[in-house]
Amino acid sequence: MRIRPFDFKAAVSLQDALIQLDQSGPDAKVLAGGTDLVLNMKKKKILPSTVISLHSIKNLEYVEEKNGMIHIGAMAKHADLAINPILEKEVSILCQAVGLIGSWQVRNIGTIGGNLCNASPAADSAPPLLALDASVVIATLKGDKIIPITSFFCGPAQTIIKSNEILKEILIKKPVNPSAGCYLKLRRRKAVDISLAGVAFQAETDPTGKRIGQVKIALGGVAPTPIRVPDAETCLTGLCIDDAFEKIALCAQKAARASKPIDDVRATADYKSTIVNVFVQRCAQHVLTTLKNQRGKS
Amino acid sequence: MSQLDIVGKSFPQIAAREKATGETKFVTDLVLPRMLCGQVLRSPYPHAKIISIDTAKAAALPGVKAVVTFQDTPKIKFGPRSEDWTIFASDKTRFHGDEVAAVAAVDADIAEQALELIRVEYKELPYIISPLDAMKQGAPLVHEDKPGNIGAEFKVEAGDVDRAMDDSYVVYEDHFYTNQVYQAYMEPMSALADVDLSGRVSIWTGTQIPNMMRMTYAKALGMSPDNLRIVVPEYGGAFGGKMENNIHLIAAVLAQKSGRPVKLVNTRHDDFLAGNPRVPMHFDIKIGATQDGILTAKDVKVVGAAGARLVYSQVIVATACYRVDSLYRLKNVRAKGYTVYTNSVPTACFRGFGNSQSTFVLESALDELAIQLKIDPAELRIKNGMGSNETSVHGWKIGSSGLRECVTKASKAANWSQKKNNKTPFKGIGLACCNHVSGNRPFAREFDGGSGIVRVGKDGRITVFHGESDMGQGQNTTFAQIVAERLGVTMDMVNVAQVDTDISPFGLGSFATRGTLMGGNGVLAAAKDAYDQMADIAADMLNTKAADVACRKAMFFSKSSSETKISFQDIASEATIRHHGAPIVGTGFYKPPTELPDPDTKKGNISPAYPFGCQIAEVEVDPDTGQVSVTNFVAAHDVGRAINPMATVGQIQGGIAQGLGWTLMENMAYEDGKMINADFVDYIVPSCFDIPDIKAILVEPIEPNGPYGAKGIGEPALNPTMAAITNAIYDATGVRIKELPVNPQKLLAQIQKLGKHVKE
Repeated sequence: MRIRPFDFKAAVSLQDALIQLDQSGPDAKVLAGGTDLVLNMKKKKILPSTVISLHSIKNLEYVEEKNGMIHIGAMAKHADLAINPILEKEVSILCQAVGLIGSWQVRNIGTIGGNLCNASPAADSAPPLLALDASVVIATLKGDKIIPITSFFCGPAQTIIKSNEILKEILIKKPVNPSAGCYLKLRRRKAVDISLAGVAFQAETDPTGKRIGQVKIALGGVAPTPIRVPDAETCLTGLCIDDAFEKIALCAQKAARASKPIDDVRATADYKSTIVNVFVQRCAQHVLTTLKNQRGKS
Repeated sequence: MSQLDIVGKSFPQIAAREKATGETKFVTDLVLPRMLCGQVLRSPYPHAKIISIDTAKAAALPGVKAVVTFQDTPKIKFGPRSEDWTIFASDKTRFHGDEVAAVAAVDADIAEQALELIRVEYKELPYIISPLDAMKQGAPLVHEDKPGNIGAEFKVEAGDVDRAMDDSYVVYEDHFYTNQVYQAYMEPMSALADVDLSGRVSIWTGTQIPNMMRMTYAKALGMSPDNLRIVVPEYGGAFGGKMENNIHLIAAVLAQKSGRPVKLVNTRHDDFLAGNPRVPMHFDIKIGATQDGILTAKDVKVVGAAGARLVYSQVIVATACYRVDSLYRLKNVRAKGYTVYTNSVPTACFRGFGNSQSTFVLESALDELAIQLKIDPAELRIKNGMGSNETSVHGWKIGSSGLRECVTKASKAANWSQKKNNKTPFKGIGLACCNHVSGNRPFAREFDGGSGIVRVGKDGRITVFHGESDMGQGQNTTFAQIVAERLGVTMDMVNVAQVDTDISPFGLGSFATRGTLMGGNGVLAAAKDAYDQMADIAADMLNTKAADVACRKAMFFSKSSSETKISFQDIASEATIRHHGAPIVGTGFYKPPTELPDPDTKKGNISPAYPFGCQIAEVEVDPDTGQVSVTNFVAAHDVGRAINPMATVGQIQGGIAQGLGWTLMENMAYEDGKMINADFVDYIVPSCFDIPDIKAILVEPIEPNGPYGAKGIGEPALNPTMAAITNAIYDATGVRIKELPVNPQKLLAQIQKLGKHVKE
C-alpha cells in the first residue's frame, strides 16, 4: 500500500495552479485535504503523474457574507465549517452535515471542495448544498464560471469539472424569510462512518411566515449522484405550516420512491429506501416544528 | 494472608508511558541492518488449481533479493493440531488470500512491483463457504483426503438426556448462528526473520505462544527446535488471533533464501484475508427445565467452519460443545460437534474460544425458559448456578464460585427488578451469565502449569523471566506485582524481560485465560525461591534464623526485633559477593491440580480455577429503523482476587466493547467466495460513542489455587455480552435474536411483523 512516485507541485496562487494543471496533462490531480486522493493513490485506483497542491495558496478557506450571498472558499475545512457562526446562523444544515464527516482527524484536514470534487454519491456535504440550491464557482484559465450544484455531479467520482479546472468557491443564497434545515445520515455506528443514506431537508417560509415558501429535499447515497427529489418537495410547497404536517407521510413516500439505491455490503437497497422514508419524515417534522415555533416567537 | 502491599492495588501498566509517548518499539518498528521488505502474493480465488507460476520477471527486477513459492520450502505438511498446512499452496489454493508466493526486496515499492510481475495461471474450482453446504453430499472437497469436508468430530454425553427431556415441564428448542468476526487488534500480524551463518533462524514476532509456535515451526522448516529462536517484542494486541500463521514462516523462508533479515508486515487487507478470525458456528439447541426452573437437560449440535485448514477450530468446536455445561448444575447433557472445512480463511482462537459462541446460545435459551416459566431471569440463574466446592457434570471441581454474588450485585447495581417490571416501549434490559477456565489442561497435552525465573542482580534490580505473553493486556505488570509482593520490594525495582525462547522458561503462552493464574503462580514460585536464598543471607547478617526474617518495602528485618534493618540492595550485593559474582536466580514452577479429560467421557477437572460473571445490558431500539443503542451496562465478574483492579476493570470494559461490536455490527462478509469488506471502511468496529457507561463490579472470592487468590478475566469479560444485549433487545421488542450480528433491517421487519410498530 505504497504510493507510486509522482511529481509534486505546490501552487502559490490559483492562477499558478491552473497553469501548472494545464501543463501537466489530463492525469494530473489537485490536492486539497487529500483524505480521498491519498488513499486512492495508495490503492492504485489512480496513478497521477503530477499532484498539484493548493495548500500554499493563501485565502481559500474563507466564509464570507456579501450582498445576500454566502461565499465559502473551496479549501475551507469541515471542522471549521461545522462551527462557523455565519453558517450556523443562516444555513445550519450544512454545519450539521459536515460535522458528521469521517473522524475529527478527517474533518481537521478534509475540505468542502475536495468532498464535492471527489463526487462520492454518499458525500455528506452534497445533500445540504443541493437542498440550499447552492452554486459552485469553477476557476479556468479563461476566467471563472458559475454552475448550479444541481448540474455539478455526473456520476460516481465524476463531475463536470474538466481536468484543467479547479473548484474555487461555493455560493449559497442567504435565506430571506424564516428558514430551517435538517440533515440525517444512516450510519452503522455512532461516529466515523460513511453515509449509507443521507437526507437533507431545507424549508423557507413565504414572507408572511405562515406558509411554506419553498422546500428542498436532497438525498445522498441512494443514487449514482446526490439527488434532489422535486416530487416530494411539491407535496409541501405553498402549504400552511400546520397543514404541511399532514402531508409529511406522502412527501416521504415520494422521496423514497425517487431514490434508486443499490444493494451493497453496507445495506440492502430496500432498507436504504425505507430509511429515506423514515428520515424525510423525521427531518420534515423537525423543520416544520422549528418554523412553527419561530413564527410563535416573532 | 498477611497484609498486601502491592497485590490488590491499581498500577498503570509498566509499559504505559512508553506506549503513550510512542517510544515503544513494536514488531512493525524493528529494524536490522540490511533488512529486506517481504510481501506475499495471495490467491485471488476461493478455490483454484495452480497450473503454473512464473517468477522469472519478478526475480529479475533490480532490488529483488528473493522470490519464493512452495518449491522453495521443505514441502513438509504440518500444523499445530492437524497436519494439513504447507508453507505455500502447492497444487491448489483453498481460500481467497491463500499464500501462493512471496518476495523480499530492498524496499516496499520494489517488493510490491515484484508481486505484480509474478504470473500465476489458475483454473478456478467450485468452492463452498457455508459449513452446512460443505457437509452435503457432492460438495467440492477442500482437502481430497477429507471426505464430507469433515475435519473433526466431537461427542460428549452424560446422564440420560432423552429421559430428562421427556420428564421436563418445558423444553425449548431452536437454531442459532454466530458469525465470523475479526480480532481487529491494533498491529497487524508481522514477523522479522534472520538466519545466522550456521543456519539458525530467529523470528521476532507478536505471538501468544512463543514456545509452542517454535515446535510447530521447527517441523515446518524441517529443522530441530533448538535451531529456531522466537523473540516476542512489545506487540499490538492479539485477542486469540496471534498464534501460528504462515506469514511468520514465509518471512523465515525469505530470509533463508536471501541470506538477509526480512520483515514481513501484513497490510490490514491481508490481515483480514489471511489472519485467523473467529470460528463461525451453527447451533441446534434443546434445553429442558422443571416447573420450578431447575434445568433438566441440554442437547446441542454444533457445526463450525474451519476454513481451509485446521488451526485450533476443532478444539474450539469441542469447547463450544461442553464448556458452558459447568456454568449451571446440569446433570444430563449431550453434544455433537462437527468441524468442517470450507473455502474461507482458516478460523481459530478469538477471546472466548467457542465458549462465547455457546454462551450466547445457552443464555438466549435460558431467557426463553424464564419467559415460558414466568421466572425472573436473574432468579433462574441463581437457582441453577454453580457454587463453590461443587463438581460439575464433566467432573470440573469448582473451588470458588462467585456466580450468585455476581448476579445479585449486578442486579442491584443495574436496578434490574424495577427496570424489568416497568416496561417502556422499545427500551429493554437483559441479563446473561458466563463461566470460563483459567487454563485448559487438554490444550497443550504435555503439561499445563507455569514457571518463572527471578534474577536479582548485585544492585538489587530484579528481572522476571516468563514464557507467557503480554499482548497489551497487562500481564507483565501483574507478574511484576506478584514478584514485588513476594520479595517485599517496590514496583520500580522489578523489570519484566522480553520473552525469548533462548532465555525464558518454556511457558505455554497466553490463551485460555491462563496467564494470571498459571504464569502468575509460576513467577510466584520463582520469587519464593529467590526470596528464600536472600532470606538465608539476611538471617546471617541479622543474626537470626531465616524463618524470623521478613522483607517489606525493600528492607529486610527480624520479625522478633525489628530495630535493625538491612536494605534489599545490600543483601543482593552481599549475595553476589559471597557467590563470586553469581546473581541470585530463583526458579520455580506451578503444577496445577488438573486432569486430562477421559477420551471417551470427557470427564476430568481441566482447570485449577473457574471464573464466573454476570452482565446486564440496557438498550433502546429505534422502532422505525431497527437500529439498536446500548445505553447502559453493568458487569459483575468473579475474578478471584484482582491483582491489579485497574487492569481488571480495563479487561471487563474491553471485553464488553468487543462483544458489543460483535453483537451489533461486526461481520466478515463474503460474495462469490471472497471477503468483500476486508478493511475498516466496511468492517465496522464500535467507536467510543457506541459504548455506554460500563459499571464493572469485582467479586473477589479468594481462589485457593490462584496466586494470591486470583483467577483470570480475559475471556469471561466478553462471553456474556452478546446475550445480555440480545436479551435486552427481546425485552424491548419481543424479537429473539438468533443470528449474530443483529441486522437492523431484519430486526425492523420482525418488529413490524409483531405489530408493535408505533406510527407517529
